[in-house]
Amino acid sequence: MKNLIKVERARQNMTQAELAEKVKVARQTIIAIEAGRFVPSATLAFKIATILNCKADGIFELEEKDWL
Amino acid sequence: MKHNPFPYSYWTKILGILIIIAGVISFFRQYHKKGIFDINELAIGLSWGLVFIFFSKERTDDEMIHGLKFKALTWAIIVAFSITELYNYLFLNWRFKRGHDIILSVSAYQFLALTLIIAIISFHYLKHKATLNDAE
Repeated sequence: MKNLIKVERARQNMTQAELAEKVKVARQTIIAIEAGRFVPSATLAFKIATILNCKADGIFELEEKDWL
Repeated sequence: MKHNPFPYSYWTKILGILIIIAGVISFFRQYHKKGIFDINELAIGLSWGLVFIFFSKERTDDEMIHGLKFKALTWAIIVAFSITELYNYLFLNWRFKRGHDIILSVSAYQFLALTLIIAIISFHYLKHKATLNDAE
């Protein structure tokens, strides 16, 4: 799953550590999500979207391989 | 709703380490007293200690950590069971020349200790791999 967390974070001048603290996960989890190495649960995806003032489907986007 | 599948707090890891140390001390005391390497004695301490270490919460515990721990445990069981099966097969079925102090089959304690050692190593490897080179 692709995501635009890094872009939205940069737009809001927010660090990974700040985002991690607001959604109550480890900074490593934000690093892994941004790198596409971990797909968050729906709850965490909505939390991240809420903190970044976006819609969840505006940040997370399905890729071709997600349908396989 | 917060649900954590790991029952013990982070500080239980210290208890786990203490149990492992006690197991190691007991292992060497047995050796000095009786002159035998009682691997099962060591495995009892290791398995109990590793249960507390692996099944306790991490310093920062979230859904990625839970997922990685589950993945690590899944692989560890498969690998440890294969090693156990192979060892038992080789030493119980094949006519190898058996040394005096070689254990002939793997006990439940040894299997659990092996599983948890593999699980802990693979958990830390997976965690390292997931967060590699992308830190700000």
